[in-house]
Amino acid sequence: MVNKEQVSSLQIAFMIMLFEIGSTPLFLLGGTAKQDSWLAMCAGSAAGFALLLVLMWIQHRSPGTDLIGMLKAHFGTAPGAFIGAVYSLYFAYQSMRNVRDLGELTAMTMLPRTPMAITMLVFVLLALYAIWKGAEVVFRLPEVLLPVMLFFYFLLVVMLSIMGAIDLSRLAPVMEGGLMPVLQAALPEIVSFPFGQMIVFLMLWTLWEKPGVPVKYTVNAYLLISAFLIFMNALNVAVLGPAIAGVSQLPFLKTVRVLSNLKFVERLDILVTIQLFLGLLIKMMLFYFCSVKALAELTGKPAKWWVFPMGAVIYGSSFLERDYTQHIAVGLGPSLKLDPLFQVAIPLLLALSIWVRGRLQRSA
Amino acid sequence: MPQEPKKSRQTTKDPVETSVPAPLPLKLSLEDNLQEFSRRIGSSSDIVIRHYKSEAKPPLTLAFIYIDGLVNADTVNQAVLQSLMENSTLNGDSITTEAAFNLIKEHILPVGGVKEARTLEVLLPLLFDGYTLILFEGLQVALAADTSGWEKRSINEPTSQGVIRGPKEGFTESLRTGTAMLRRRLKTADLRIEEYTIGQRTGTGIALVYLKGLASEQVLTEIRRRLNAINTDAILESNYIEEFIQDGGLTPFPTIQNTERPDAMAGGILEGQVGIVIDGTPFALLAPSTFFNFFQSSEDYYQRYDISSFLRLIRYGAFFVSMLLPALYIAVTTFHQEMLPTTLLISLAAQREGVPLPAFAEALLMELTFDVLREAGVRMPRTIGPAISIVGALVLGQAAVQAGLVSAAMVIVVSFTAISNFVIPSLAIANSIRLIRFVMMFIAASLGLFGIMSFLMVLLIHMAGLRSFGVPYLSPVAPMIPRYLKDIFIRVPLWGMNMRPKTNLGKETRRQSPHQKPQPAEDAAKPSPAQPKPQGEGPA
Repeated sequence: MVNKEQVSSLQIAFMIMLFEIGSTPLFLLGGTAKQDSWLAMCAGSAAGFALLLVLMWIQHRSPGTDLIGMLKAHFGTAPGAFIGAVYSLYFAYQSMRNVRDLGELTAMTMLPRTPMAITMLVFVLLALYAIWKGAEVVFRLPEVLLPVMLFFYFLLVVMLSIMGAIDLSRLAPVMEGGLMPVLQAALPEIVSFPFGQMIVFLMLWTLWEKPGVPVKYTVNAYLLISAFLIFMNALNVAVLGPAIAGVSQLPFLKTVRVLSNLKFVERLDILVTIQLFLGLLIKMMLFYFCSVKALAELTGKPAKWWVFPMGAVIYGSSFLERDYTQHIAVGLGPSLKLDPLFQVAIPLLLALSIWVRGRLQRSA
Repeated sequence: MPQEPKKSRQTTKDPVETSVPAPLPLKLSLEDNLQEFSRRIGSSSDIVIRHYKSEAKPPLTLAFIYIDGLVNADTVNQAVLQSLMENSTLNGDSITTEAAFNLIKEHILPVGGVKEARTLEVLLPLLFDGYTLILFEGLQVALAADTSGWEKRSINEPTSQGVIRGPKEGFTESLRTGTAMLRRRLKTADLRIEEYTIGQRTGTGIALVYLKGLASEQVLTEIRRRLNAINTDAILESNYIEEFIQDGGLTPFPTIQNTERPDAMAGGILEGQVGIVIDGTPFALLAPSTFFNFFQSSEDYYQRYDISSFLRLIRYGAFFVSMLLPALYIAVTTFHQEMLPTTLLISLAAQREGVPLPAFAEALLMELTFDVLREAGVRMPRTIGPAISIVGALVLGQAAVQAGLVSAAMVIVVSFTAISNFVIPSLAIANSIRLIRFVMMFIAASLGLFGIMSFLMVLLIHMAGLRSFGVPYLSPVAPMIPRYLKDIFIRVPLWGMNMRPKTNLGKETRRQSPHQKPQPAEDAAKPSPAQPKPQGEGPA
């Protein structure tokens, strides 16, 4: 390929939004803060924003280099390559979590009798097809999907408010137990999912048609989507109340089912299912893409060379967990402990290295 | 050894196996030339050879060759034969053949196109284009006078793309009529018409029509390259060209528009597209075309913008209905009964009680039936049309339901699907989803809604990667160019579209002056620059 694949600022902004939405609004994040979960979201988002600033600064200081290149430059070629490989696996692992999420959720809501192996295979193949077509195609998808998805959310919110299902008093009392429960719920859980996952854009900003980082678009996209996620979180609680929202597997599905209880429209599950499908697909696709891109850069092979092996790895590993319970347990246990290492610790080390090197260069 | 002759045969043989002999210069002797002519074209009954010998000494000997039916008999008789035979200088004694040749060429022939040629290879195509050839005894050069004038269909209302308001004339089979219709709509010096002849046996004339400065040079170069690369013996219709030059041979989606309407074509050309008019068919092509072009009808611009926007949204809706409705019906009745309101579910279940087939088979059967009916409607002689309607509506619809072969709901689904398909203004894209619908139904029967969504994603990814002459198929939505979205899902008022709304790789150009929104009379005191000038008052 002669000209490098490039994406526009708008495409990056759309991708950030769709990626951050993912499947997030379907779950109640920060549920331990009860009715203050939306405040926990705010805290998480703010912490994530600080992290995002660090990431953007790193990218700004190393124009034209993605995460793998930076790791190699700052930690030495061999250790950098090793950490890069670990990152590739980490991305693949995140991708596999989404595949499994979809498999489980599909079995739960849509196709109870179809083996998960088939739905997950279809899912992985879809992502594989898009990644095979290249970054340009991957980044065009959000431009179509994000408006569709937001439209569906908008429809649901409007219907919920028309039917009077939203009761803001369920959000009271605000900060019943002080600030601590809120922060405890936010850190590190909400930071690592979904806000900390912005780390993938260290792999993607280099695709931008101009050098550097599209700061304005990135920040705006991030802030907009944070506001949206906080709103959706508050909505879940305002409809269901903190108790029910906290215990249900898919609170948003329950929220939408409130509409059928109101005898207005019978079942809007389909809208939720579509949102779920699209959100998970994009998220999974992007992790998969980053993993492939990282491997391609580490091995010097074209990205297409790694698409199929990586797809097989992701598909295969999605069977490792025995059942949904274990899947959730791993997600909330070891996974959550590992995330800060990749999302916060290593980027901070990178930033430190860049800063120190900048200092040394200036003094020399 | 055995490969050697094979190889040489491949290289020497003409790929389309027409005989292309070496260029043959004319001979001095008229008799020899005529013999060569009849050896080449045989003694077909429509070829007329008229000998003429003047009264002078030495006599001037000429032969006229033309094809009856391709020429206008009046022109040949009056402009060519009569003017030559009655010319006194030509019949005078002291004129040499060379002088006569020049005299005829420069002065005598009162027709627009006069060409001279020295070989048969040049003369024969002219003959088949309706030229009258004039051969001279003692000269190795011949004249060809444009006398073409064959029977043409008159300009009619387009049958495939009707409008309520708007021009009612459509292209005809004549290339020249087509280019003239475009020329009449685009009276600008920038309009360029490039002609090609493609097809060794059909020699079909093809005209590339575009506006210089608006059409992207990149696209033009690419189209020219692809047209020149066509090596076939026959071009009978625009689809021959379309299939040879369109991107992505393996896509269900059309990447070139076809239209019968000169106004639609002029509109496309004005937005930087390149038109391809093909002799022998009233359907012309427009490229590059994006997915959204296929949902724009020329009538969108002839009606008020509000109703146009509404209709356009209806079209997109109809597109999805036509593609998805049977599949959704299958998916919901087979996999997701819980999604239906209870009363509807009960009523559907009651209807399906006596139906012997599973939903998928039922839907497939009815869809195929409809496609058979539709094909029959196109092919059958007009006189037996009512019979088909009765059979279709009563026997296959009502009676099938009453007999318990299909459920009434399925008949409704299939009918609505079929009608939705006709809402889409472009037959090209309507046809492509006719096929996609079947795949969709099959997937819905095996994976339900999940399958439908997955297949929609496959289509989306496919379209996101598709290009039409370098233009991304989904632009301006993906890649998104927000200011071009004014004419995609809705149509904003004409005074709101100051820039050319599409991305055809061309330069972004202004097409009208801004601030033309009609204002109340308060500003009438200071005339705006955009005020239309009365016609005929100085240069525009």
